[in-house]
Amino acid sequence: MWQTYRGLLVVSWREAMAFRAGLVVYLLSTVFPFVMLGVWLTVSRQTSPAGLDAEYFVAYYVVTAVVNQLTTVWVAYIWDREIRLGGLNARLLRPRDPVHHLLCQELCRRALAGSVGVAALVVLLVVVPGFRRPGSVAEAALAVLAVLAAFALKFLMASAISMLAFWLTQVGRIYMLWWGVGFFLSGWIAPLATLPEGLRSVAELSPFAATLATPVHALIGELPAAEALRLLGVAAVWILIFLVLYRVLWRAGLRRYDAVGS
Amino acid sequence: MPVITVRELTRHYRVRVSSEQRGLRRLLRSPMTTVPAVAGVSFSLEAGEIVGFVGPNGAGKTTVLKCLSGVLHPTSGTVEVLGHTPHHRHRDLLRRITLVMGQRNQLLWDLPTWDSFLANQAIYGLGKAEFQAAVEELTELLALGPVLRKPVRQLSLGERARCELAAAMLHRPAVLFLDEPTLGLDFDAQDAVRSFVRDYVARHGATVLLTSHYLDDITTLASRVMIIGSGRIAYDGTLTELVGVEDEERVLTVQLATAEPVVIPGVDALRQDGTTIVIRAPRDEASALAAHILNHYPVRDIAIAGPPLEDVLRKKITKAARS
Repeated sequence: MWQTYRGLLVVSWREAMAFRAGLVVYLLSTVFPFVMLGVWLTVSRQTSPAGLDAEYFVAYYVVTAVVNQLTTVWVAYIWDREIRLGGLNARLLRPRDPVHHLLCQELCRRALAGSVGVAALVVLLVVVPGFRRPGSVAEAALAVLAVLAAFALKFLMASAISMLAFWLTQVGRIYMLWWGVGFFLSGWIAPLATLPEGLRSVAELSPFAATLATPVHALIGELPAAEALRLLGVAAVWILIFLVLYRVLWRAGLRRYDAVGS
Repeated sequence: MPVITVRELTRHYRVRVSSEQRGLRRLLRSPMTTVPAVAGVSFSLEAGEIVGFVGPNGAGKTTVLKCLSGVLHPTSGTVEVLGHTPHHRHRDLLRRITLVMGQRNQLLWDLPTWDSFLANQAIYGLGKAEFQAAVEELTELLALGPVLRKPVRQLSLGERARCELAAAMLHRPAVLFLDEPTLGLDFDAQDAVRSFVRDYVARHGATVLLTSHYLDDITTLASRVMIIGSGRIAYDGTLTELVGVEDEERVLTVQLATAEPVVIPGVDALRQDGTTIVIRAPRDEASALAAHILNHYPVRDIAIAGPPLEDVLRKKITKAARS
């Protein structure tokens, strides 16, 4: 399997490089975290929501932009297109499950796009000594783990939901609906600390917090190691759930796949 | 022992139909109907056979190939390829078969073909020496040399077809399912594909099931033909037998010394072009007709032959479609 991944990663990296201009345009168009930063800075000028100050919001949304670059996945749209239009046919002929190639392609796209954000973050940490960061090497390691978990969770979530394309023709809409909820519970719209206590607990136990709030808080040093481990445990459970769900739906979907196209 | 065994294979598709219902019911329920694409097909292929699988559009050819290659699950019946049930997608089976489809979508569009080869090397787990030998062989058989390093999107249709074929053959499959492999190609490219298939089978003893609407593909490559119509096998036998069964007609080609218009009482199927006349006649009347022409017209040459193989196949396919 390692040989398969090594070969696929080499080719996927070349594919990502072939689309590098598109990735740069995509990065430049990612303004949402900065729009939200503007909103929260305006709010923090008048009040101090949940005891959070302007410095927190700057760190939170700058790191949100970086985590987003490192974890955004396009695989849902690829699965949907492949299943609906029959592109899956060619992939099914090969002796490795198509998910391995899709994972390699996604990893390389993220590595390329994320490298820009990571480089910007490193510069920021050097130039602005007061910028929030993990308090120790252990916390930094947990933060890296949290980013990897966020990527894995988003990849599996997207894959599991897109398996519905075996039954439905517009699974992209369902994915959008899912992320409509996710936008709120992951911490995109508002840091989880600003939510009412009950809702915050729901968000933390949902699969969404692990996709953004957990890695962001770990990276800006707002997550003590014990708390980070607890939230990583939640992420691990959701990863397992979506992995099983994806495999079950994949197998069931293949049984009713019509393999359109030739 | 057969390499491929198919018994009573049936495959239905569920398709949406336009609803007669109105209002909320129409919104909530999409009426579906079941369309049988393949209905009780049985056949087997021995190792090293090249079998032409022909039939009109929608007859079920591609559906059968997809069931044989494990892309589709059959609705009922059994399929066995190299001792495996294809839709179980066992890795050992997938390493030994290939399906080349008309639209051809193996290659990574924005990269040179070489990168698609590397991806397949990784996916099929080919060792360096094995990969190198396969690339060299395919480059030679398909004349790929200059095109391997060009991005796929910049290849001509013929170049892309050859590269797709090579990518699908890199793991040297023992069973080839070729679905319209020459579709849309010019004559040279069609010839290249046919030569490749012939040479590959000669070198590796592979088994081939080939569909094509270009009857040249069938007559050049296959010694056995299966004709499918409305999801059922209408004929399964050798080309020679097929021609024998259908060979109820003779074509008389006569060269005359003059270009005078010819009218033969009782013969309607006559075409004249200057000094050449071509007459289609039933087999048992052909010799009497030839004698009549020789006795009544200034004949320089006369030839009696069976109808072209393409015509025979075309007739049989049309008949299968009607049945």
